[in-house]
Amino acid sequence: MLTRTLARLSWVDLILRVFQIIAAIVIVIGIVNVFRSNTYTSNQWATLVFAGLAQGSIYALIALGYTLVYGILLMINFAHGEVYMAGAFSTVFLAGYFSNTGFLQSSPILAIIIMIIFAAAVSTAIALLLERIAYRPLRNAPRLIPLITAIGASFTLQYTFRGLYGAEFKSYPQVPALSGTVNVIGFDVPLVQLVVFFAAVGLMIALYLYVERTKSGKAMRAVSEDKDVARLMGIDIDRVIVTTFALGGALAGAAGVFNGLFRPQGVFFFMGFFPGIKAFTAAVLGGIGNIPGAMIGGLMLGLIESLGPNSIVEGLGIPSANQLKDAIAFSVLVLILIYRPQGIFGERLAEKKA
Amino acid sequence: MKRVLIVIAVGFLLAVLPFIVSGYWLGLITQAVILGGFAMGLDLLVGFARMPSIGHSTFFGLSGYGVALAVTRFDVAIWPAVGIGLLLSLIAALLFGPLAVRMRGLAFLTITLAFGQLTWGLTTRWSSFTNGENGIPGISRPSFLWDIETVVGYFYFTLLIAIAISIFIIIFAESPVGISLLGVRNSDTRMSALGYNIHSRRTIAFVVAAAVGAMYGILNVFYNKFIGPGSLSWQLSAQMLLSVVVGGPVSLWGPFLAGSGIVILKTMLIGTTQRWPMVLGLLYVVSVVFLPGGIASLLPKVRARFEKMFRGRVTE
Repeated sequence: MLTRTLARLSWVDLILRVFQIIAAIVIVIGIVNVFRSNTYTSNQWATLVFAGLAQGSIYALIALGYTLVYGILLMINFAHGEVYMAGAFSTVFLAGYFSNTGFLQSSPILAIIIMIIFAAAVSTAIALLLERIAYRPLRNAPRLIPLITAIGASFTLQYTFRGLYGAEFKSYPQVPALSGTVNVIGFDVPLVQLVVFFAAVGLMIALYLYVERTKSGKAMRAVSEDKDVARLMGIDIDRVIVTTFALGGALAGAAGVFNGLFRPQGVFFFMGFFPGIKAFTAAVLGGIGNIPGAMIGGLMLGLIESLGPNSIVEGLGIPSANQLKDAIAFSVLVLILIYRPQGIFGERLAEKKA
Repeated sequence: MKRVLIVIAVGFLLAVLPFIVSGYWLGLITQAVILGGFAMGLDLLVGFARMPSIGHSTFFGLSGYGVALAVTRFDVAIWPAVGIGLLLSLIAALLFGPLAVRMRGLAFLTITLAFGQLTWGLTTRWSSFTNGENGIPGISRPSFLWDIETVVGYFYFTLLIAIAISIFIIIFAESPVGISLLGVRNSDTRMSALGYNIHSRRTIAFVVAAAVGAMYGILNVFYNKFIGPGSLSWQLSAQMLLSVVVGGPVSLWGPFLAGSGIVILKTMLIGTTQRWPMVLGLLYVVSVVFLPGGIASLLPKVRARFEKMFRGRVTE
């Protein structure tokens, strides 16, 4: 019995196992070191946690777009980051206009809601265009092909927006109504972070109810279960796919505005790439194709990114830990793909069906 | 064997170019040969083994960084530095490869993307060592049998090495290993039932493609006399993957043509419009939508048409 198990174990498995143990030890050492040295007060930790939750809820909203499309078409829409950029970038001008006319100061809630609707509309339009031009003609092609068009479309969108709005950085105006702090269980938390977090969670709940409770949500679930049978039952597949892209686009657009409120700077034509990849990481982390998975995955990634540099990397004595945020997200992606490709809740990437 | 002869013939044809075109175009063609050759190597992985990698610029850039860092930081002589650069890429490929080939399809794509971004991130962030976004300038070319400081001399140098690598790629593709890769692509369960070790076959394809990329990466660093994080970037990997698909996987010559064609097209577009990536992106979408088999799929059609014409005349 033992010899047979040993014979089946390849050296790569062995190395992976050893590597896993080493990684776990390193993480524990890092955390223990930081907590023993007491570098940060509990107030600072709370700040990091809330910032992480706000950032994570933005990732979660974008990740839902990846997961929805994957669930229906078994395809990764690599241009989704650009859909997010389109909404965020276009709304900068509306926000600037609202700020100049004083509308943003006098009735902030209404102004922000209009901004979110505008961003969602722009992103949805881009997502639908993408579906119609780049993906629909290739629905029966080998799976590598729509990916190529996604990359091509991503280049095209980036430089179209650069052509439309210019290459320089823009920033969202400060919203005075959101600039204060609120006391939550004894910690001072910036109001923006709370608003972003709860608004995002609200949107996620709305999406969940839509998919679970409405008729068109039921059609979506049916198509993701089995496209051919769903068609036999009289479901219009094209319409479901269009709805899916529209929902993903709308959520990405809303995420763009939230990002603008939370982090006003850094709006430019290339802004979609990193959030796109990170949201994809979040979707894989939660189990791609799984809607609650994307939500939890996004929040977890936000927390890991926010807490990781200070709690693990710094404890290992690596300087300027905060600059390694991006590296942490990609390391997480590599580790999940190696050790748990099905994610926390979900389905194995690329081995499902087809 | 036939294809080796074609490579040598094309090499001789290209060797005439310095007498025809200006120095500017010759430099551009040198660059085109470098990226075309890189795409041809990647075809072994993407076409033959059907493993879409979007992180192979890692090996292209790492070998360049290896040379540049060895020369500028450690004062190594140039030829040993070339060895260090190749070794660095090869070690990275041997570390990444066995891990990555356990994934399939989109998961493989994702993990290569993650690896590529990790290396890119470390290179740009570790600025005290790699000089970050600014890159490392001032790398001099090595001495060779002839003077390769001139544009013409470097063109012949690149051509010689590209011919050698291409012949190696063709021999590899026609060897039993190359053919078994096609088998793995078509049905891995059947191949493993026949007793082939699937993971090791895929690792071989991964490492060979990486080694080819590393060699062209060194040609690239000496051509530019500079290395920056652009050589490790996601965009370059995507461009290479697109070259393979647009050129026509498995044909080897298609990816070479597409890879080098994109370089020339890009330079021509930069001259006329600021938004060349937009045009390039549209071109990818259009070419994939209308020509799913790639450029190489045109050849049989053209040949059939010629044969038809010829037959038509004979019967007249």
